[in-house]
Amino acid sequence: MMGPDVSWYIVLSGFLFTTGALGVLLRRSPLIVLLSLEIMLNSANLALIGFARHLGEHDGQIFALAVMAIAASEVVVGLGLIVAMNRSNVELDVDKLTTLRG
Amino acid sequence: MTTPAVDWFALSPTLALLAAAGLALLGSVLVPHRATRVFSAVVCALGFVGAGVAAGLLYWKSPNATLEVADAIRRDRFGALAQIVLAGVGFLAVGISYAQRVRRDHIGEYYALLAAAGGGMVFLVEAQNLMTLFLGLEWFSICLYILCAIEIDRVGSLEAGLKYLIVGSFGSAILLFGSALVYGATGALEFGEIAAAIEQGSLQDDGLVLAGLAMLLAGLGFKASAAPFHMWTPDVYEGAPTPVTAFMAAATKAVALVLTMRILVTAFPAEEDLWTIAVAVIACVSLAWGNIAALVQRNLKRMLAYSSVSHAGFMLIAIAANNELGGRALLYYLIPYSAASLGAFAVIAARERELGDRVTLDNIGGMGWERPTLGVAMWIFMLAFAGLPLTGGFVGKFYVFAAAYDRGWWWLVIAGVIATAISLYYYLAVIRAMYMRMPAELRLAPAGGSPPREALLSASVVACAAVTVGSFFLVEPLIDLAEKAASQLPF
Amino acid sequence: MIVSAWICLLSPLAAAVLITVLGTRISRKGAGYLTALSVFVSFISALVALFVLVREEPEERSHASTLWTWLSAGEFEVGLRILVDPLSLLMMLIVSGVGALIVAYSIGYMHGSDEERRFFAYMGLFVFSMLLLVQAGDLLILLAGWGLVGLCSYLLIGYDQHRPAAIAAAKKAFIMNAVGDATIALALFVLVQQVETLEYGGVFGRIDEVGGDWAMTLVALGLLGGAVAKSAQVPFHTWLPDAMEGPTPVSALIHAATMVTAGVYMLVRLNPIFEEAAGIQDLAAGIGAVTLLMAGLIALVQTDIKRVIAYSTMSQIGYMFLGAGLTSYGNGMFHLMTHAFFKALLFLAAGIIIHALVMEQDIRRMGGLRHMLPRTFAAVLIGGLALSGIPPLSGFFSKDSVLAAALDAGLYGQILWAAGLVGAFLTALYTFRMIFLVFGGEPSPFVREHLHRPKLDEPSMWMAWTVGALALLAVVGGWIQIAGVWHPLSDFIEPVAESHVEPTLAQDILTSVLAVALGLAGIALAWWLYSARRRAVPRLAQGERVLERKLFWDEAYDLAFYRPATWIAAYAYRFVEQPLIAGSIKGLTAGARLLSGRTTDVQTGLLRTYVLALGSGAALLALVFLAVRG
Repeated sequence: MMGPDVSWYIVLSGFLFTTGALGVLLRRSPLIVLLSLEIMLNSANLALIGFARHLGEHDGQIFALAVMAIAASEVVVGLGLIVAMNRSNVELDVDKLTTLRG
Repeated sequence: MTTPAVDWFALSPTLALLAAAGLALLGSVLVPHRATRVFSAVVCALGFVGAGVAAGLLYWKSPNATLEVADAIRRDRFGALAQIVLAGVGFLAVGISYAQRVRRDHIGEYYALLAAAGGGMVFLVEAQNLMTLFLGLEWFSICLYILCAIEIDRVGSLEAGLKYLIVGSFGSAILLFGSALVYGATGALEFGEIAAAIEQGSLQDDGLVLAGLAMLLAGLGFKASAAPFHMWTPDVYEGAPTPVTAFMAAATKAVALVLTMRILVTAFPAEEDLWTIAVAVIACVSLAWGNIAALVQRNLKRMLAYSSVSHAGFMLIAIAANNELGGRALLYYLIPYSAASLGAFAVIAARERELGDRVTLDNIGGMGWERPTLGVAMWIFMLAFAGLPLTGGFVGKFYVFAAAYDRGWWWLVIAGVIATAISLYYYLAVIRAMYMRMPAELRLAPAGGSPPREALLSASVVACAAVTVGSFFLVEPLIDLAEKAASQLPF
Repeated sequence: MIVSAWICLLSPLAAAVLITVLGTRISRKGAGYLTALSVFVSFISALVALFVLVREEPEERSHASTLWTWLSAGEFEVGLRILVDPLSLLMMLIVSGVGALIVAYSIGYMHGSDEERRFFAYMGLFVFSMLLLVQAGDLLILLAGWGLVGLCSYLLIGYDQHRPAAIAAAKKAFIMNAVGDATIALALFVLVQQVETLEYGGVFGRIDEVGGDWAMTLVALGLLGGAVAKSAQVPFHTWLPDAMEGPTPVSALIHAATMVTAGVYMLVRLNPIFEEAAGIQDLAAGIGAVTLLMAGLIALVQTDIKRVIAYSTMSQIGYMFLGAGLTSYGNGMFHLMTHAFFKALLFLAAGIIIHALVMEQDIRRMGGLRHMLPRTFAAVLIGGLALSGIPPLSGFFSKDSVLAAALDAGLYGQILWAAGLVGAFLTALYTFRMIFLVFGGEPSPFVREHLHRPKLDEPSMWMAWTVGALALLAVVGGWIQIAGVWHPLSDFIEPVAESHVEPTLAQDILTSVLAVALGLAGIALAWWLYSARRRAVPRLAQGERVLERKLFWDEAYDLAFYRPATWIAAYAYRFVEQPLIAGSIKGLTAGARLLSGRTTDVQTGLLRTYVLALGSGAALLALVFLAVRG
């Protein structure tokens, strides 16, 4: 099998996962937060595909395809919510979403 | 490569609910506007009835567990019993939802999403590999994100939806990444094969497996709202429409815990010494955090949210016991717990509709006298939560403790007993508030007069109360069902 | 047959529930009819069961049935299990038969009082509880019934909530009985620990396995404690006279005919346990003898008509304890049955008198009622003669057979036999003292002023015919068993409780002659002292005072328990509760609130906090896992 070793894929996916997580933690715009979540899911996809290739099996790749579909629908719901918030004149800042607390 | 054989029977509960969801959606387009509420509610309720019947048949016809549909799902009584509970929860949730003020053009969607979420849940409890696990989890979660935010005119609802979506997706991502790691280490997705691969390859100490297991635990703990992964719970429970909260509190927790037990027992028997301790610690943290935080809550929905965290702790004790007694205890516990949660939130929903305001310990005063049926029912639910006799909550805790004791973990029993003692304080406070204060003291904020009493909601509450009390008196047959179901897991 | 036994058990409960649920939708009288009907249904069901049972072989007359099993842990099962055998059937017949008559009587007696519905609901609940007690198939259900009858007794004694005396009496009865319930519960703990089951057959079969005499003695002692408390025997007897604060039908049903005899039933039902701890059984017989003497003495000076009868109840139950304690089970049960008839009769007749005299109960203010209430006089006379053991009334047969059996039980038995004979004399004396004071002589000024002749309206008819029926039973009830000649009742009970004493005909005759002679002597003395001529009764001022204070039992309890308890409580409150408990609770609450506040501070509402908690939780788990295995 050609190409880099599987560990490279894992390191890369781990890096992406951390990047995504930091994005969710640090960014204030819900749009960017959604984007970061996508990065996290896709890092897992990368790991799945890397492993599948390494193991010479297909099920990891099928899994990744399913995850893509799910990630897409999650984003759709998230964007819908953001649009609804925008319409109700709620400021698009996750730090301002603190009416529910305590 | 051949197409795998599909056991439609094993999928029938899911299919019934999916069909109901589709029909309800179609109905919102095709049925005249006036009739959409009735039509979609009935279709949704029928879907849950169908799922319940199918699950009952599945329980009856599955004396031996089998792997179906390319080993993606496991047809067994453990899953079937959980499905029956879920179908019951969903059915009663329809009754509670019926009079909720949802925007007219969203009614069809509301019931469609409820049925779809139920479909995802009954699918998930049968899941036997990491892919079906993730698919099922996201399936019902996405439905719930929308349901939480369905009252889009209310900022609280939107906020709850977005918070749930973001934290939920974060949890799912962790779970997915953990799945990927486990897959990478073992080369298997199916739970049994994972166990076999760990066993054969001596992967007990493999870093990927360990990290993957930790991430899976965190993801599932999030769904079960176990501390410290629970922080979304009070906010989302408070912000979501109350019938949705009722459904989530009962069903999501049931699904998450049943699945946690299934995956830990089936896929990670080799790591038993690690995860039992981890689950026990999470259980203790949940008990402590949930109970202590509930003490100062005035808002009833928040209080019950924290109480649900502590109940997740109780059920995690059953999982940590890692024995058949624990399986039996978990399945039994779900019955009175689900009924009491649904019922308690339903009573809150009734009060909320009366007042047009969020329900607190102050403005629930006198409700016990004004609506005696609901008052008595609430009394029953609180006693069930507190685990007092004449309610199934007592027996449930008894079995949970018995399971922990059987494993030799008496310290878990002590933790549970202390938690129970603390919880009495705030559960009884609800009863006291309902009865001990005269309505005259209150400053009510009536929303245009008192709304008509809702027969459906009352009927659902009475049904919940009947289950809560009935599960106490009918312990023997129920525990027998649970025992048969639990014996099909490879403890 | 099992079906009819279940109907027998559940029918009064159904009536009680129905009355509760219907509330004001059922008329007051309707509630009475409903309860009476339900208890009558119970009686018919018990009769049906009897007819089926007597057709079977004596050895096969035992049928257990479990309606549902609540919990099972190994062999130990908790469930609603009943047992139908000769003993329980006899009790079912007595409870439902006498119960039906008394409830029917109450329709008249309670007519016009407030809250009749509540009264009848309680009565239905009581009959159910009592039937549960006697039909119980294991010791746990027995205890449940035991507790429930205590609760009903409490509710009914305190039925008249406006009178502080009634409330106090209710509390006293409840607390005394609770002590008994507790000792039974403790006995059951020991028993479960020893034999791992509470089902009668299982327990009796495994008694041999009980390790050590002390365990058996402890179990028997605990059970006896419950029996003594429930049956108002020394030293737990002080509640019964006070319990007369309840309505008269309650006194008749609960505190004469049924509940207070539960102790005797227990001695007979659990005879294998008591026989294994023979010392305790003798103790029971001794307690019976002491009680019958003491109660007879105290009854001599009582002035309240119901209290006189109450003390006679205590003393008669003493005879039953004596019989059951000396293993003469059949005769003990026989006396239980006849006593239920004539004592219920006496109470109900007393109820008519009290009704007629606008609730006056003091016999010193009565007199000369024989002309005004002739039929009531006849009823009381029948009851009194039966109580005094004069042939051919029922009390004669049963009391004498108990005493004759004692004569066969060795030296100890003979001592108790002598005490029983003295008791017979006392019984006749105090009974006829009461009768002569109430009915003899000329009408007192009080009677002239206050007597309401019972009108022959419908409520009074209910009272009249039920008293008539009981009078008939009090006459003929004893004929089903004639000592030494024929004893179908004892034979019927035999498979459940085998008697170990068998008096000879000579012993029977000797006892009967002596007992009747002493009874007649007592009547004669009463006539001489209290009849129309009203001699100056020889006075023993000191002794009388002691008796009037009921031998200072109440004072003794006050001194032994109440005073020290209040003293300790006061000091504990000052030196322990206030500084330690209250202080620490205050501290704990403050701490919990503080902690609780902290947890909500963490709950900032900020998304990033939640995500951080989730992420770091997962990371922590992973790190710990890796560290532990790494």
